[in-house]
Formats: sequence, C-alpha cells, structure tokens
Amino acid sequence: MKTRFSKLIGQTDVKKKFDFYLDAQNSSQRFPFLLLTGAKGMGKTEFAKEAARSIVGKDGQARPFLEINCGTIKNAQVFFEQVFAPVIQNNEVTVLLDECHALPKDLMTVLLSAFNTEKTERKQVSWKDGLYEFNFKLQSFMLATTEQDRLFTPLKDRLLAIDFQAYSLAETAEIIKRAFPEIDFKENVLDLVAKTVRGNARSAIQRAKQVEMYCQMKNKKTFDNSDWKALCDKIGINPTGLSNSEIQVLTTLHQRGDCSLSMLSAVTGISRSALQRDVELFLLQRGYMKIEGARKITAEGVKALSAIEEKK
Amino acid sequence: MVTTSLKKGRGRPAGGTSFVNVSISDLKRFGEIPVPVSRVWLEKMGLTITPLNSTVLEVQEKTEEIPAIEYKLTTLA
Repeated sequence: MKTRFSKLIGQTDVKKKFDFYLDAQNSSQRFPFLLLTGAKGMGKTEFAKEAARSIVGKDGQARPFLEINCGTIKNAQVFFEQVFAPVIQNNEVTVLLDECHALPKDLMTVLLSAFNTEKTERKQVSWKDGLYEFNFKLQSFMLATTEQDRLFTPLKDRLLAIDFQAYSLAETAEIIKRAFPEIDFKENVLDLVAKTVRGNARSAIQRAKQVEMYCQMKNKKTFDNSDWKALCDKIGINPTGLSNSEIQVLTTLHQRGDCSLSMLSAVTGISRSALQRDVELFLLQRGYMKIEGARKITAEGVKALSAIEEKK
Repeated sequence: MVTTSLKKGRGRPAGGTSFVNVSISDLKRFGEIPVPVSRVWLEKMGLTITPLNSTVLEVQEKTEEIPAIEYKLTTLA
C-alpha cells in the first residue's frame, strides 16, 4: 500500500495521479510537467512538497524543493539571473512555480519552448547574452495556480493537470483533529467546528489554531460543545460559518425577495465582482441561495438566517 | 495600383495667408494687449531681438530597481 501522502487528508484523486507520475518518474527518471489547479487553501503547495519528497537525487536523498512566487518575477532576464543560474541550472531540484498565471509573458514563452520536449532531457535556451540549460533529469517542474483561465493556453497544453477538490465535512474535521492531536474533541463538536470552515485545508488549520488558543487559555486538554459555544461567543463565529457580507446578502434576499446581481450590489454596497467572487460562491456551495435568472434564497438559507437570529 | 492623379484639397490654397496688413493706429486701440508680430518684420523695422534666457534643468534619469524574486529553497528530510 502506498504511503506517500498518508500525512495529508483527502484529495484521493490527486494522490492517485501523483502516485502514478511518481512511479513513472522512478522508471524513466523524468517527472512530467504538472499543473496543479484549485481554489486557494486546497493544499496545492503541501501536496507538491510531499510529492517532492519522493523525487530522489543521485545521492538517494529527496531533491531540494524550490518554491517560487511567480508574482514577483518581473521578466525572464531577472528570472535567469536571480534564480535559474544560481539555484536551478546544473542542480538537482524540484521546482514549484506558484501562482503561475502571474508569470511574465516573456518567461511564459521561454517555458513554452523549454517544456516542448519529446525524448530529449536537455533543452538549451538562449536569452539575451546568456545560454541556459534545462536538464529534466535533474530538475522537475510543477506549476500551480488558482486562476488557470489566465494561463497562456499553449503553455497549459504542455502541462498535465491535477485539479484539487473542496474538502468534505468529514475531511475538514479530520484536518482539525490532526492539526492538534493533543486536544481531545468530545461529543459532536468536531462536526460543529468543521461546518464553519470553508471546505479548504488552510481555513481548517486556522480554526484549529483558534481552538488550540482557547484550550491553552483555559488550560484544558478537552474541547466540547459548551467550549465551542463559548469560543463562538468570544470571537464572533456564526454557527453556520457565514461572514457578515454573506449574512447581509441572505438578509437582503429574504427581505426583498428575488434580486438581480445589480440590485444586490446596490443594496449591500458590495461591488458586483466582489459579490460573485467572494460572497455568492460559499452561499451557493452551501445551498443557501440559488441563481435561476434572479438570485433567490433557499429554504436552507432561511433556516441558516433563523439560526443566526436565534443566536443573537 | 499606382495612381498618378493628384489629391485635391491638400496644401495651402492660393490666397490663403496667415498675416494681414493693419495700421499701427488701428493696433493702438488695443492698448496694452500684447500683439504677436513677425520677428523678421521687427528686424526690418530696425529692432534687435534678444533671446530669453532659459534655464536648463538637468533631469536625472531614474534608475529602475529590480525587485528581488521571492523564492524558498527547502531541503526535504
């Protein structure tokens, strides 16, 4: 049984794909160019790092893992001078180009050419006055993005995609539990805590940290429903996990009936794009609202609002 | 395809001038208002023209700072 990703919860399909490509790498000594896509906090970087542990160098040890924030790369020249020549070229390294949609256009073109390999493991790139060599037996490349639609399509076509899914309630609960194993969660409190988390691993860890802080303050090793209620009161967590903007949207839909996006924007004072990007998404995921031409609140949404009112 | 016909309506039409003759007495009616006149005409009238002193400011070219790329190299256990 494979245990490469046993430390990480959920993402079964992602683990299967990684296992397959890592097995292939063991026999061919070449790791495919991967594109990790998914919403923020899904664990793209953690999975990439965990996969990198299985990519071993000539000395039998895991190759170093290089994580680059592409938003800080101004152009290809700077990349070659600051990162490629000193850290990547001629070295064994696993590279993660994070937020790759922000790569400058000239570097995207370079990568497009570099990744266009059939059988050869080396690719020389001439740029300005320098000649740089990619050696894919020494270097493995993974790219990650939250906005794959902004990635240059021909480059995307050179990459094998691995897409991350939202975490289920049980998986979220497991992430919280594993984050601080010394805390004993009683009753069904883990489910209650997990319900207030946005289906992503990062916010689950953040919530777990709040629980840990509470337990430290109270000098407790157990956490039960009454503790959760007290914590919610202290830091203003809604039982449904909704933010104030989301409650505002639900309340507007409840009071005014069906609304257009423009109407919602006008009433709440939140821009249309922010509503679509930051507010509606979670409400739609939770089934608290639906879009059928107009925006409508669902019976679940009404229940959630009532729960919030009761708490007040 | 090359055409040899000239384009119509281009250039200064015959008789179209920038200047007109006006007597000094008529101009006097405008009092203290500055009236632009031709430099060549002024010189013909015997006036010498001293060019305005201009101050040349040296503009320093901004050297653009290249921001450092954020990256993290981790040795995996």
